[in-house]
Amino acid sequence: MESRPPAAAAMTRTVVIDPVTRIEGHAKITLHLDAAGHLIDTRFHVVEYRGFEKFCEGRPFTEMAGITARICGICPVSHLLCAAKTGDKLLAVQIPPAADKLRRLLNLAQLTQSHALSFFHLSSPDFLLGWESDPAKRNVFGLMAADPDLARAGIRLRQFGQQILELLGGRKIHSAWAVPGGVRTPLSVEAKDWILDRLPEAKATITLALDLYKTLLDGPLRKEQRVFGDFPSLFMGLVTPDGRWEHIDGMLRFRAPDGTIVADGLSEDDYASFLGEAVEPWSYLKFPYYKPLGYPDGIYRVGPLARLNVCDSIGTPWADRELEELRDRSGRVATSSFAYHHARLVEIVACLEAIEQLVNDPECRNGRVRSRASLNRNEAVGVSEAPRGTLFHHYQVNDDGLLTRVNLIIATGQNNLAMNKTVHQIAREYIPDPVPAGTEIPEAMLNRVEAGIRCFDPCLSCSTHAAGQMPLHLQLLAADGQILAERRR
Amino acid sequence: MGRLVIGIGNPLRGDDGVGWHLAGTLADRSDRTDPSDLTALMVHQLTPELAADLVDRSGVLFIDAWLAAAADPAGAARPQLRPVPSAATGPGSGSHHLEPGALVALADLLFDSRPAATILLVPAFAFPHGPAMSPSQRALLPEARRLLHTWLDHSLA
Repeated sequence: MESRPPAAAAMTRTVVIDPVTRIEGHAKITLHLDAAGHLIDTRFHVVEYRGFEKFCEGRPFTEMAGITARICGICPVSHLLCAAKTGDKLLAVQIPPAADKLRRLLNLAQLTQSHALSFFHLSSPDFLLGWESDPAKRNVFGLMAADPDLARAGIRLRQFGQQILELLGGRKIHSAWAVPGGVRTPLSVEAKDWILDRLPEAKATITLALDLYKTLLDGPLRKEQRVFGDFPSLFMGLVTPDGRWEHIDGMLRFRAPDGTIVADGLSEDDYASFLGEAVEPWSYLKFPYYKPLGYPDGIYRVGPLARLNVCDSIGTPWADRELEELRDRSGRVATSSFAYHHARLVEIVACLEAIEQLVNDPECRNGRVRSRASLNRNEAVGVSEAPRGTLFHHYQVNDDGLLTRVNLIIATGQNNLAMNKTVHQIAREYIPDPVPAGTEIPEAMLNRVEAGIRCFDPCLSCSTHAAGQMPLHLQLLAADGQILAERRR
Repeated sequence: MGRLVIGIGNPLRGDDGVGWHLAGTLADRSDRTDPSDLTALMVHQLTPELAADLVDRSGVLFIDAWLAAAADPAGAARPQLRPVPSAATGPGSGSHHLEPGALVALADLLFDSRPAATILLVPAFAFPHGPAMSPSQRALLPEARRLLHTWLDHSLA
């Protein structure tokens, strides 16, 4: 792992990118140089801490859906669903079929809106405006100037997903619609009609985005696909019992980069037997790893690319065609972290097809949406796929249903080792070797290093959580901590 | 599509929730007038897709907490109504943090929509965990409500 402390050197220097921009949360990147100016180490630091797990203790488990949804305003639905699923298990109930389908619909809308934000608003400026473009214009306004139709379509696609969340849950964020035992209300006729009315536009938007992205992959982004975090690692995600793409149920599967299924049919209940969590003194973000391979060799990735790598197929026709094309371009198991962008677009296709199926399913209008029971277990683990990857909630409660222990394993944390490795590879490719003393690192190179992190669309709010502005802060440090150079934007 | 009020903030962080509080009170108001004329949204932060909600609005009012204590330790800060000019700038824009002027610019650039935009700033003094407002902010609420109703009356005309 590149994130180990650099070897002692008499005169090493460190380049710090602090904070990283256009991600959800607060972080910095340090590039460590030795006395001769060679890159010897990289670290992706998460410098915020919120400690949600601790202050949930003592609360009733029935409140967890509402509390954990407030960890983040970006993907609250993921916590809402995972908390509700964990609550189902504490009640020891099977939720009604309508509730299962409605929860699926909610998660599909969440994946759509989150992926749309990542692709259209956060990453497209890099793709379309260029790495060397003025950082002050490399944002959504610059994107509008370059391609207003794409910017407009992207905003409306995100709005489509957000609106479904509101139609189901009554509000876009922090809805308390999913509860232990099911959900509160079925799909209304008005909501069904609205969704079906807007689906063609959403499909047209993702078609436009896929066409554009493939063109870029064949041209200006070809090199990025090769050097933005292309390394072997395991991939983990949920699959259905027959190996298809799954996002809220099913079993966990690990697949190796050579295509081998390393572990299959794993239950979230046993996560502690196959997932370990290491800590490093320089980051608040934990470093989960696959236990049988140890730390850090047990590096694995989660999220859209991992879900597409672990599954055999998606199960809907358009999405499966797109999945095949992704595999043709990037390999059966795509190992480049840059392919996360492509995977998000393919997943949006899968979501739109599944949304169409569900809103046309009469079961989603069935009024029997909640199973009721009292506490029947004192411990449960829930799992679901958040936009950024697999999410675990583990609760222990006393006989009154009050939480005595909470453990949340967040997707972004599970990609922590991979993010560090990605930054290191990009830095090796784009940072001059050696870096001459006294010279500036070009802005475009720094942006590429940052963009490596953005491949994972990390949500540090979930992983640790704090609020704040996200300007760019760069420092060049000597081994003794002396600042040799510094820049901000 | 009438007028739009957007309350901005975190209702679980003390005075930061004042935008939600005031926007939430508009349900009563819309009972007395034409509900279809007035839409109230409560958001933690302004995100790009909200630009679509500005389309075809005759007027938009943002309500936000105003960190006044540091700037005005004497406690003389009062709620204020200010126009919001379009501003297609902003460091870090593109994520989940847009200023009201940037959202107005987005609506203009993407949807050719230019509603008259105003912001109601309510001084905020404390941001502890929990929904309770500070005594200082509570004392300013009547004045903030008067300004809100001023906007409602004038924007209708």
